[in-house]
Amino acid sequence: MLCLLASAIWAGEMAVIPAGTRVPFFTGAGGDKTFKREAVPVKTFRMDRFPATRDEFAQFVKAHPQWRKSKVKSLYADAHYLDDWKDDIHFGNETGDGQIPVTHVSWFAARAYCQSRSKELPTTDQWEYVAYDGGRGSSRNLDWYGQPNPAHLPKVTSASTNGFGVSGLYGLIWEWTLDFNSAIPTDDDGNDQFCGNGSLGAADSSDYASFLRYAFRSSLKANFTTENLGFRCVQEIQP
Amino acid sequence: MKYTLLFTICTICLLGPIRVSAQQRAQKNAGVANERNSLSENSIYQLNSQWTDQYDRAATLQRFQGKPLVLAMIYTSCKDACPMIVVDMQTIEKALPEKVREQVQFALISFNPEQDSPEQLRRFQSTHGLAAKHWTLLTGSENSVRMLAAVLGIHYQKLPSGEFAHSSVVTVLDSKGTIQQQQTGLKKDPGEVVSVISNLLSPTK
Repeated sequence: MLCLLASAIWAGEMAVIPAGTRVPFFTGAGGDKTFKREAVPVKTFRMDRFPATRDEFAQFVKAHPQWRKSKVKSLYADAHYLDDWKDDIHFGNETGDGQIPVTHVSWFAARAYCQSRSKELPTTDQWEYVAYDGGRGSSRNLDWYGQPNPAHLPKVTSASTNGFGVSGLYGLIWEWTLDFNSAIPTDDDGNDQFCGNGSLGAADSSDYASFLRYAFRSSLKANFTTENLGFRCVQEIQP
Repeated sequence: MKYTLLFTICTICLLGPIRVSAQQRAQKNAGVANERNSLSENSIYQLNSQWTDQYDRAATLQRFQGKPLVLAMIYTSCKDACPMIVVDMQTIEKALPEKVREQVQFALISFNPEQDSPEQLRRFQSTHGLAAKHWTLLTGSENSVRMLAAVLGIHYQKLPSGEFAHSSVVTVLDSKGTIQQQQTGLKKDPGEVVSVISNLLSPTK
């Protein structure tokens, strides 16, 4: 029975992520030398096995015209929103184009898509927890981060799958998180900009892949869109 | 890599006493929708967020439409940066010529809906001597906070201690909710913001 249930879950579009703990890369607890970096609990949740595809996003904009590129407000998406689409509801013509990750989407559009499916964007903690395979693996593979963007993104199914049954967390695109703006930058003078005081401390300064993701997120604004930034959704599991 | 932050604040908040019949409410909603349509595409008043003010009245950001707004996001138990942000805003308030000041609104919006009840906001207002005539303090849902911070470009994070790390930004919005200026950092000279606001209200505009 459990096996049946497990295989049914595996076959779905979302993977069930079991509860666990994760040590945040940055804690924001800087100045306090006595602060102990502690693992934070992560509750169980479901995560899309693949990033949202162009096919899926096309269905979304057909059903929600306010998110078509001719209609979207600049407050919610910059001028490059769906830049590589031919028109409001059509992307390229090449075979298989529908199966590549949708990119050129803003945080607002990504959230609206997830919410239209009764889902939400993952928190940074959720995303990183899965990226680290719940501690079984590592997201330290830097190869992809050093490569130029391919002229044509591969299909979502081409990426490697981790122990949770989730594919393409890195190796395809960068992904939005719900709290992408939780990364606290310093200003140009190097001054901290926040109340929690002190500078930020990294959990493991050797984890350069995490640092790159942290830095990338902190550079984003919610209406930004770019060619290598997409998303996937998560869903709460009611206890 | 350099992180650039942007922050100054101006914003808007709003509200409306909402004790109306369903019919009145429908009319009112239609009115808000029409007002929203007349806003520019990048107006923060396009946001559909719900707030409660320091008098425990429902409020929306559209309420600030019509006059410039100086806005910041803070939380009342913050000991470090937030009191200084408020002082910076009061410095701006004092530096405005009286005739200009009468036409400007000031708003503080909480990062911390759990702790910052309307009563707590009222206490904070009183402690800091914020004139009821010009100042609105708002608290809202976690989602409203998230959306507003997103459109203002404000970074924040709740820490395990219960404190919030956040950028210190004062934003100036024009009468239609479009960002005109953001002042990032603390203890800033009010000159630039005063000049931006005065220009917004100059008759030649």
